[in-house]
Formats: sequence, C-alpha cells, structure tokens
Amino acid sequence: MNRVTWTIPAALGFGMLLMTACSQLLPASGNLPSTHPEALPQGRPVCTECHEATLKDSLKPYAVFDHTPSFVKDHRFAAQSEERTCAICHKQSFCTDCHANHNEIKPSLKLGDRPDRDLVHRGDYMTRHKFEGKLDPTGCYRCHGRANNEKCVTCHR
Amino acid sequence: MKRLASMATLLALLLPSMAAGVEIGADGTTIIRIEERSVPGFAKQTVAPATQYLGFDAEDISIKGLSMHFYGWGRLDLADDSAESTTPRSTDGNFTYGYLQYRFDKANARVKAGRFFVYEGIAAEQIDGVYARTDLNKGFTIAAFGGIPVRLDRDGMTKGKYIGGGRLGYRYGGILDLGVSGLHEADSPTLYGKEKRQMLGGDIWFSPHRMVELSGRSSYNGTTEEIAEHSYLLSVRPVSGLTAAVHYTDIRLKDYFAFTNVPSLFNPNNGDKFRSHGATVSYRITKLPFPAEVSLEYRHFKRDSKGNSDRYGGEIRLTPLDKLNTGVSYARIAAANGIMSYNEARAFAMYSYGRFSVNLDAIGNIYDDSVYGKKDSYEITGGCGYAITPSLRVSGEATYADTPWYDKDVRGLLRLNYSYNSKGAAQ
Ligand code: HEC
Ligand code: HEC
Ligand code: HEC
Ligand code: HEC
Ligand code: HEC
Repeated sequence: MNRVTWTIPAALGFGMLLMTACSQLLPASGNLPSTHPEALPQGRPVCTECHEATLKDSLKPYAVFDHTPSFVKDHRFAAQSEERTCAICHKQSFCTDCHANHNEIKPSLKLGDRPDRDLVHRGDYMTRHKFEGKLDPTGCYRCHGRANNEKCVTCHR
Repeated sequence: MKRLASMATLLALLLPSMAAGVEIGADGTTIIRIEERSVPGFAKQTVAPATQYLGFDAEDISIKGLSMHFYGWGRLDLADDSAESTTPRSTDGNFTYGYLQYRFDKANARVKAGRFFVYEGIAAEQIDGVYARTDLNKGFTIAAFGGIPVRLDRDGMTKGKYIGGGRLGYRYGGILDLGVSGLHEADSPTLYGKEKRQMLGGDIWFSPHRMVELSGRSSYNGTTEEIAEHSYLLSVRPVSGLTAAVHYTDIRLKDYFAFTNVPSLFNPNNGDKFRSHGATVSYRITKLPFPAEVSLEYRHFKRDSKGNSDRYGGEIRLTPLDKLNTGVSYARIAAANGIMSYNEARAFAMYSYGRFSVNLDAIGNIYDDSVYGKKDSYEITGGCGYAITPSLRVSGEATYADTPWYDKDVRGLLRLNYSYNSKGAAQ
C-alpha cells in the first residue's frame, strides 16, 4: 500500500469525525429511529395505511414511500437522497440480493419462494436477454457494467 | 478470502466484549441447486452447487448507537464444477460487506467504517473505507465517503487506487430536496488505460403540491467532459390508491459506459444515444371485496443505432384470501427491425397455511420468429415450504423448462433459512 491510499481515507475519516462531532451542536429533533418500531408483514408496505403526516426529518409526506409498483421500479430515485430512510427497514443485504459486486445466483432463484417479488430475469433469461439487452443496455449497465459480469465475459469477450 | 478471515477474527474478538443489552441477530440461507447441464457437443454435467449466505448484525455494542453488520456468501460444488466463468473453480465466495456503524442520537448523523455500499446521489459504490452523513441547520444535509474501491472482478486488478465522494443536499419544507453529488476515483481501469473516474451529478425531488412529485437526476462525466444522463420521473397521486407517472431518460452511451470493465458488451466507443419515455398507472383497492392492484405500463425505447422499440405491459394482483397472493401479467415487446419482438405472459400464486406454504410461478415467452428452432418458451416452477420453528424454515422448488435454452429440462433447488435474534427485532 502506498502512502496515498492511506492518507486520503485517513484525512477524510478525520474530517468526517470532525463533521459529525460538530453535528452534536445541532438540535435533536427530526432524528429517525434505527429500526422501524412496528414489525411489518411480508409484502410491499403502503405507509399511508398507518401513517398520516410527514416524515419528521425531511417533512416529505409518507405517501412518497408507499411501495407502489412505480416506487419499486424507480426506487433508485428515492434511494439517491433517502438511503437513511430505507435503512430503517432494510439491511444492506436486502439490497444486495438484487445488486452487488459479485452475485452468482439469479435473484429469482435465490428468492424462488417469493413469486410476488419484483425480481429481474424470471424464466429463460439466457434467451430473452439477447433481445431485452438491445432495447435498453443502460439498465443492464447499472448491475453488470462494472461488476457482477464474470459470467457475461464467457460469451461477451 | 484473507479479508474474510480477518473479519472472522475481528468478530471472534469482539463477541465476548459485547456487554448485556447488545442485540445480536444472525441469519443464514443455504441453497443447494441441482441441475443437469447439457451443451451440444459436450459431455453432460450434473452440478450441485451448495451456496451459503451468512449475515450477522449486532446493535448497541458496548455503547448505545454502535453497531456491526456483516454479510457474505460461499459456494462449494458437491458434484461437477458449476462456475460459469472464464476461470472456473469448484469453490467461490464473496465478502459482501462488513462494517461498524455509529449512530449519533441527533440529526440523523452517522459514521460507518469497513466494507459497505454507498448510495448518495449519483454514487452507487461498494468501498472499503469510511462514510459519514448528518443533517445540518437550515435544511442542509451533507454526506461524504472515502476509501478504496472494491475490486470489480477477480481476473484482473480492475479497480482504482482510491475513491472519494459525497453529496450536499438542501431541503425545504417538504416541498424540495436538491442534491449535488460527486465522485472521484484515481487510476480507474478504462478502455484507454488507467484514468481518473470523475462523475458529478445533480438530483431533485420537488413536490409543489402533495399530489404531485418530480424526481430525477442528471450526471456529468468529468473525465469525458460530457453530460452522461438525464432521468426524470413525474408522479401524480390524485386519489388514494391511484398513482400515475411519466418518465423520461436521455443517456449518451459514450459517457455513461466510459468506465465499464466489459467494453465488448457496454461499448463506450460509439456515439450511440439512448432515449426512453413512458408511463405507468397503478390502482390499488384495499377493501371490499378483497385487496387488488392493477398496473399498466408503457415504455418507448429509442437508440440511434438500432431504432425504436415499444413495450406494453399490464399486471393484476389479487389477494382473495388473507394468505393467498396471486398475480397475472402480460407484456408485448414490439422491437425495432433487427431485434426480436415477443410476448410475455406470467401467472403466480403463493399461499401459506400455518407452517406450510406453497408457491407456483409460470412464465411463457412467444417469440415472433424462432430462436434455436423454437418459437414458444415456457418455464413452470412449483415449490413448497415448511417452518420447523419460527426461525428455521425449509423450502424447495422444482422447475420444468421447455425453452430455446433448456430442452425439457428439470431443475431443483433446496433452501434452508434460519435466523437468530436475541431480542426478536425486525427483518
Ligand atoms: C402496519 C402499519 C405501518 C406501516 C405499513 C408503516 N408503518 Fe411506520 N410506523 C408504524 C408504527 C406503529 C410506528 C410507531 C409509532 C409512530 O411513531 O408513529 C411507526 C413509526 C415509523 C417511523 C418513526 C416515526 C417517528 O416519528 O419516530 C418512521 C420514519 C416510519 N414509521 C416510516 C414508515 C415508512 C416510510 C413506511 C412505508 C414504507 C411505513 N413506516 C409503513 C406503523 C407502520
Ligand atoms: C417502513 C419500512 C420500509 C421502508 C422505510 C422502506 N422499505 Fe422497502 N420494503 C419494505 C418491506 C416490508 C418490503 C417487502 C419485503 C418482502 O416482502 O420481503 C419492501 C420491499 C422493497 C423492495 C422490493 C420490492 C419487491 O417487490 O421486490 C425495494 C426495491 C425496496 N423496498 C426499496 C426501498 C427503498 C429504496 C427505500 C428507501 C427509499 C425503502 N424501500 C424504504 C419496507 C420498507
Ligand atoms: C427486487 C430487486 C431489488 C432490490 C431488493 C433493490 N434493488 Fe435497487 N435496483 C434494482 C434494479 C432492477 C435496478 C435498475 C433499475 C433501472 O434500470 O432503472 C436498481 C437500481 C438501483 C440504484 C441505481 C444504481 C445506479 O447505478 O444508478 C440504486 C441507487 C438502488 N437500486 C438502490 C437500492 C437500495 C438502497 C436498495 C435497498 C433498500 C435496493 N436498491 C434494493 C433492483 C433492486
Ligand atoms: C438489479 C440488478 C440487475 C439488472 C438491472 C440486470 N441484471 Fe442481469 N443479473 C443480475 C444478477 C444478480 C444475476 C445473477 C448473477 C449472475 O449470473 O451473474 C444476473 C444474471 C444475468 C444473466 C445470466 C442469467 C442466467 O440465467 O444465468 C444474464 C444473461 C443477465 N443477467 C443479463 C442482463 C441484461 C441483458 C440486463 C439488462 C436488460 C440485466 N441483466 C439487468 C442482476 C441484474
Ligand atoms: C452463453 C453466452 C452468453 C452469456 C453467458 C451472456 N450473453 Fe449476452 N448475449 C449473448 C448473445 C449470443 C447475444 C446476441 C448478440 C447479437 O445478437 O448480436 C447477447 C446479447 C446481449 C446484449 C445486447 C447487446 C447488443 O447487441 O446491443 C446485452 C446487453 C447482453 N447480452 C448482456 C449480457 C450480460 C449482462 C450478461 C451476463 C450477466 C450476458 N449477456 C451473458 C450471449 C451471452
């Protein structure tokens, strides 16, 4: 390891510690809980069935987080600014079931007992991917472009 | 593997020091797949890979707010080699994440150190390093991370030297959430050799009225010095249960794919532009006669190099009984000339009764022209599960497939899920 690899994270780490130390000066209101206080049943939650007002930190209405088909399909928009909110209910392993650096089993096989989940690549994807991949390769890039492509390179060299 | 071993040692050292009040959770999944693979011209292979996923979480270790999280998997082949890789091996594994987190009791402030995933604005990265975020006064928020990127594949050293980035956000009264985010990776491997990887982005969430919401992002590739992506989504919720959304995406592949490690597949060396727009509508009824959800989707894809394609789809989900979930869906993909057009239909059902559960999934594709001599392709999966105890469950599925890829093929999968929780916390 050369010096750069260590000094930069170390400097960043120090900066961050300082930053979070300063955050102690901030008011305590608006802190989200570490876990959701109520255990939720299996299946996509509709926040507004139980919550009325707005989230206490961002003041966004709970309806923004209702897990509708559109929320699930486009969750990347919610995740880009709200990862801390997702983390109330989701461990990182929930997300890595679908996207990680190195996955070997298709999500639809790993979670084969959950046909209600919105999992990519159901059925014979080896055939279908040749067509779907041409329609929109940018979606594929998000999961296979820089990672999780060890299998792809057996054919795509 | 070395990292895995040192994580395990760290775990072993930390475990005894965890005082009372620590909440420990462990969960594991063992999956054994049984498949016969026959590629014409090659000997038939029976593969039975056993994959072990293991997660470990400890909350409030010694200090309130300090937690540890760990996840990884390993695979062992019980029969022939199963790996589909250019460098096959009979065992494999991945250390997905392992980090310590400290949550302050104010302002959603937290620090993480170790290996983890970061999602901040345009950054979606797996790093070995540190992360911190906090809310600031007057609606500002800040997040920063730095460290070493996790190697992208194992054949080469395809990762940069170090990575850093973050997001600065501004929120206003439940109406607006704006973010500026950036990412810098030194010596990232690209098609053109080791280059810096720089991305800059802006993201928005804007809700002028509680029924209307605009979200999206734009990103700028600081290395190619061009805009890479615009993606925007406008949703309206006129009445409870009804959501309608339109979206628009515009991506320059040259700049979006610039940092791929498979340039043969995600070719950054062309001027192709990708554009897409579409709409989704979904309606959910929660009460009488029983819960149901209908959704319709339309997408239009435009690629300069390949032409215009459309996707029309719809799905109906019904929950006629408390523990019975069913769904049917259909989609028509009308592709541009030179790309296969096809239909896709799917039906599923899931039912649980006491400790037992059953699930069924059938998916069919009808291609407009034949692929490897077949136009119709279908796959049916049936499975069942039994919860031996609330924290130990066995399940399994059998799949029958008659598709261009699999000729009258039967595959099986066995799964064991177990969890331990010292307090009985959430998922
Ligand atoms: C089955 C009912 C139910 C559903 C569905 C539900 N919650 Fe909750 N939630 C609760 C209860 C009960 C509490 C604890 C009481 C409270 O703080 O309102 C809670 C608390 C919270 C809190 C902490 C509030 C605070 O002020 O500390 C957040 C944040 C939260 N929920 C977010 C969500 C989000 C986001 C969703 C949808 C993805 C959701 N919840 C879905 C029942 C539910
Ligand atoms: C109040 C808890 C709660 C919050 C907050 C929450 N989720 Fe979820 N989410 C759930 C539950 C429960 C499920 C269903 C899991 C299951 O059925 O196994 C789910 C499912 C999902 C799914 C999978 C849907 C499918 O059908 O496969 C995605 C993706 C998802 N959530 C993303 C997010 C993102 C991104 C955020 C943050 C912006 C978030 N969630 C916030 C509780 C929550
Ligand atoms: C059910 C599978 C599934 C789960 C679970 C899931 N995702 Fe995703 N995620 C996807 C898919 C599919 C895409 C690509 C979507 C697209 O093409 O627009 C994606 C894309 C993303 C992106 C955009 C990445 C990029 O490079 O632009 C982010 C960020 C993201 N997900 C965050 C999360 C977080 C955070 C969680 C956990 C709370 C999560 N996801 C859970 C399926 C999933
Ligand atoms: C949410 C992340 C995600 C997205 C988006 C995604 N994939 Fe995948 N894909 C996976 C995972 C996880 C696997 C299983 C691991 C593996 O085989 O490498 C997989 C496996 C595959 C496989 C092997 C399938 C098999 O039967 O073994 C192909 C082919 C594939 N993906 C192509 C694509 C194409 C083409 C796209 C874009 C249209 C795409 N993927 C989009 C996550 C994703
Ligand atoms: C068994 C061989 C094989 C494997 C493994 C494979 N592919 Fe493919 N892929 C093909 C073939 C054949 C085509 C069609 C090429 C053509 O028509 O020009 C294709 C086409 C594609 C396309 C469309 C490319 C274009 O022409 O624009 C994408 C995207 C794609 N594959 C992604 C993936 C990804 C991602 C993976 C790994 C997760 C993967 N493929 C694994 C054989 C494979």
